[in-house]
Amino acid sequence: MKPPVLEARGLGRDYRVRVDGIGQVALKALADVSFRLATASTLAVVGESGSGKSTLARQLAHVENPTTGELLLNGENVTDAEGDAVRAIHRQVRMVFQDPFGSLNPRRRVHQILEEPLINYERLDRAQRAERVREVMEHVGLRPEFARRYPHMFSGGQRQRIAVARALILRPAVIVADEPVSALDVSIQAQILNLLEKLQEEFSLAYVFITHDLGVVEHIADDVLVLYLGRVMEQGAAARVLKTPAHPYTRALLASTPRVDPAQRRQRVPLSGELPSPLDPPPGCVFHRRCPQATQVCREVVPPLEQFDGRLTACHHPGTGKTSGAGPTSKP
Amino acid sequence: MGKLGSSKLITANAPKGPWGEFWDSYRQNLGALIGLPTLVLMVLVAVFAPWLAPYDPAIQHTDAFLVPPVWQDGGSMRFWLGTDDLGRDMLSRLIFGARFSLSIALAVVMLALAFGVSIGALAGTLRGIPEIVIMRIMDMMLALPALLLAIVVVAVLGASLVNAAIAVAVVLLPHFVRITRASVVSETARDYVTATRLDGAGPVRLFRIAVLPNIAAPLIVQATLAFSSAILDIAALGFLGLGAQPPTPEWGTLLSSSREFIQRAPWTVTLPGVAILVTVLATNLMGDGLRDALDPRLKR
Repeated sequence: MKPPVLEARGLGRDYRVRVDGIGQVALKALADVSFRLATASTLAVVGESGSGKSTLARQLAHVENPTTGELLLNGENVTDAEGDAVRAIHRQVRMVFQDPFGSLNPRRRVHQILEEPLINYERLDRAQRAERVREVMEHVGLRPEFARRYPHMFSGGQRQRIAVARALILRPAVIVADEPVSALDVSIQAQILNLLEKLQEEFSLAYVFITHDLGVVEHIADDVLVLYLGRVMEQGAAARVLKTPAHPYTRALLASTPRVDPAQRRQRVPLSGELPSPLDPPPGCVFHRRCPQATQVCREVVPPLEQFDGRLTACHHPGTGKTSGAGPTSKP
Repeated sequence: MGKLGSSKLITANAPKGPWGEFWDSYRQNLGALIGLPTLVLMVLVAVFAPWLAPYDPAIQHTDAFLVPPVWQDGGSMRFWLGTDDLGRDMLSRLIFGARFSLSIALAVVMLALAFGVSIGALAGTLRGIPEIVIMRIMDMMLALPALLLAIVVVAVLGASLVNAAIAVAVVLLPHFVRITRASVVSETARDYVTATRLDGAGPVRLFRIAVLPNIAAPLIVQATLAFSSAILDIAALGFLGLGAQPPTPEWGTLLSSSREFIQRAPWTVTLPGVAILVTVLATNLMGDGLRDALDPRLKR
């Protein structure tokens, strides 16, 4: 079997944070994330704000180095890459940022923005670069005549197309997209999602797609990874996880997704309360304080990530929700 | 001073296209509208000094010591602004003085800007211990009165126009360092800077294309305001005898060399003072206008 294009093994990231009166404290923004991403497939990472989604994206794109675990690119360990090795990763794993108004340098023209990676990574003359820019602009559905314009002359959707073009121009293996559509109008979101799907087919791209919108996940993902407070709650094939969520947190996320079709609306209790502080995570299961099914064991023992009904879930009382309301079932 | 040519100058300087927005914002400020043409006039006078000045500024007219300006009793059309105690034409000396004062001030600002931006960028990029060391040194320099610090620097280096320029640049340096550091820190947190880094740009290229163009606005404003303090400080050092040395017609030196005639021939002291005042005022008014137009926090 071909090695996955991108693989994470127990990936974690700590930040040192200064707290008054205590001194330096390690903040676990991300802990023990593992996945395998195959060519031309999409992994969706979902969770609330503060769940560690963006931290994961930053580790995968090597914006910063993970503190624990391993990251493999095409089967090669790149966890602690430095210098030229980092450049090689930046070339293979490209990033699309959330805010298309913040990710494009306002003082540069579109062709300058798009040429930047070519100037730094490839030895091309001016004409060749211009040709590549024209080519990539056509791929993302922008008229090549726009190349001499500045970013502020474009709408949000067009700007995100420019950002996608910048990621695409190096012909990467993986694109890490950090909430690429959440800053856009709903009608524009669909356009960008369709564009990303089209590009995936054309270039066999692998996507890590960070989002908080499960509606988007259904649309594009092969696999899903549900994060809560930097920990994996549930992970598996998108179809299975979304159809029969095993973890109460996944169910709660699904319940909070708006639906147009009343028949599809789910009759589940949405989440209450707030994300606990990652500086002081709850003992046991990190989700127990907001979980409708929490029991004593949840408050004391950290649930391991285990196989359940064809996916992985970290819950003492996993279920598909069909029996919700019934008492928690104990595990064998 | 700028009255006669001002309306023409404004239209001539009206920037088109992408500058339109800047200009719309700038012209809201009446003071700035007066300051800009005045300063432009000063610069033109300085540039074309040899053609504008009626006489060589160093030539002594031995038949005309301390002749009053044309509007006073005893004044003549020969010397519009009178002569000084050695019979030199005041108008010519002031016109050539503009050359010295403005070009020295410009050099000072460029020097302070270049070093200030480099040091500030270093502090803002490296963070940690280097940043703390650099910024505390800058705080110490700011704590000393500007002129005192300049006098100390000149005392160490020796009195000359070049050393005075270096001294004033040292005085202005901390402002640029602080502004650059603060802007660099806030700018490097932006997504497009991260994106440019992921695009493979090295630290120098990153600073040049992603950071510097986006922090230019506050630096331009500061440079304008620093220009006026530079004129003032250079003049002050010249007045104290620590800057330009006598026959040089620098404005501050003009002031000090005719100090003793303030009773008998007030114009010899007043006129250089007025020249300094008008230039500094015009620059400050323009700086305020630039700040209004360029600083997004003050955008109306």
